Amino acid sequence: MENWISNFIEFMPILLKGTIYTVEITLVSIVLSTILGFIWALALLSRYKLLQRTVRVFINVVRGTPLLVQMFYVYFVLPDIGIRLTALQAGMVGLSICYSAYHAEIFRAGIISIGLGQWEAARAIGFKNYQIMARIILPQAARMILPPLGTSFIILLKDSSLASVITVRELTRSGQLLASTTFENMQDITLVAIVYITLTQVLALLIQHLERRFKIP
Amino acid sequence: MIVQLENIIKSFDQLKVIDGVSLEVEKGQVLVIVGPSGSGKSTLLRVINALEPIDSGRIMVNGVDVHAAETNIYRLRSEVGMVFQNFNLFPHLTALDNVAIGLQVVKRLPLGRARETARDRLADVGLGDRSHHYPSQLSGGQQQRVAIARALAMEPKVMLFDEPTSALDPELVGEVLEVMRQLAKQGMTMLVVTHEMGFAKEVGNQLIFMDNGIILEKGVPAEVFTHPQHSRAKEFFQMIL
Repeated sequence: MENWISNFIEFMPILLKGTIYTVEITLVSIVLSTILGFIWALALLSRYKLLQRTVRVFINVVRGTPLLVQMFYVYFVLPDIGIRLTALQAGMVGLSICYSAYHAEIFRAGIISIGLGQWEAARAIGFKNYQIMARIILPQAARMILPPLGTSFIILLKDSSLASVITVRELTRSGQLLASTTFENMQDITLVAIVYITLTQVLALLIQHLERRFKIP
Repeated sequence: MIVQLENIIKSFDQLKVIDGVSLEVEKGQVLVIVGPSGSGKSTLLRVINALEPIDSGRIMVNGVDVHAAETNIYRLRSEVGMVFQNFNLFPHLTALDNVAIGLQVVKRLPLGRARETARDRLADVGLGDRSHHYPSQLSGGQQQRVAIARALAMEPKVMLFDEPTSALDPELVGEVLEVMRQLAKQGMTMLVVTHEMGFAKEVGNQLIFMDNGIILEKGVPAEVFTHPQHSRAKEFFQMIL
């Protein structure tokens, strides 16, 4: 036990650094994938057929390929056409694009769940479309959107571990490195798991808080 | 003439829902529109505030050509109040904010002033004590009165009512009609699609009977009821009077 504690103190900085990377990748990817996903959803719902179809194909391609393959594309293939990203950036871009496709569907489903009567009532008062979206539709759709979006955020957080494969020293990679020097697999991998659980719990609580805010009596 | 329709034609795909309708409503007048379902009455209201485009014809509201390309449609809609059969209140907002939000978003009033006006409009429809209730906490009649207050808050020149009492339980119809009666008395110009013939006779200055997108009867309500010229109108009035 004492040995365990001294190990813990010794390895903490390494894991902490990994955790910070994981949090950084996750937060950036959550923000980007949510913004992109919302834009894709608007495109899917627009009356411009060409835009609609283009985004639909894009989403199907993204949903139809593994995240790991997408990260390989961003990290190993994009340099061939002159786009060079650091491993960290590549991880963020890969996660953001991948999850934007899922988030697009979540937003689309939430938006179409609100009846056309709401659009008409607001339009009849003189609202413009963006005002209707911001003030009438999204606040109501939030109830529908937040639960699946929250789940998606949590999966995204855990999937950030895939960035370890393209050499990002995030939490999983740090655990691996630690285990390969200490040979204490049980201890090191468990520590990593505990940090993931803590992070996902914090995220889940944040989402719960948001859900409460958008409750309608 | 505050509302003027000239030879309006409107179709959905192949179906002509409005087939050459012309009519005029003077300021302060109440026009009642009746007819069987599918006769084009709702669509007739919806083209007046451009919720639906028209195929041809011209609609003037308060001197503005509604469907002209250069018309500021948002401004026009803010001057034409509309009340829907299903209320269409915003369920995530209190009664007060349902009424205030148009002032805040469209007229860009600060929230405090928007709410002040909203409070007055709610009091006008007898709901001053319900301002902090959400739509789900109100009865159908109260919801429809909030919807009327929401439209009135924008200070419209014309009010359009699309079967405002059709979704209500019978005992709640009266309170909504009473609000509309008061409104007419105060000189509001109103176009009302309704099956409430008592209201039509009492409040309406003019009545049109529509069938298949055409105006079949036109005149003072009591006269049209008692001496309809067309058999379609005769049958219809026999059914509902």
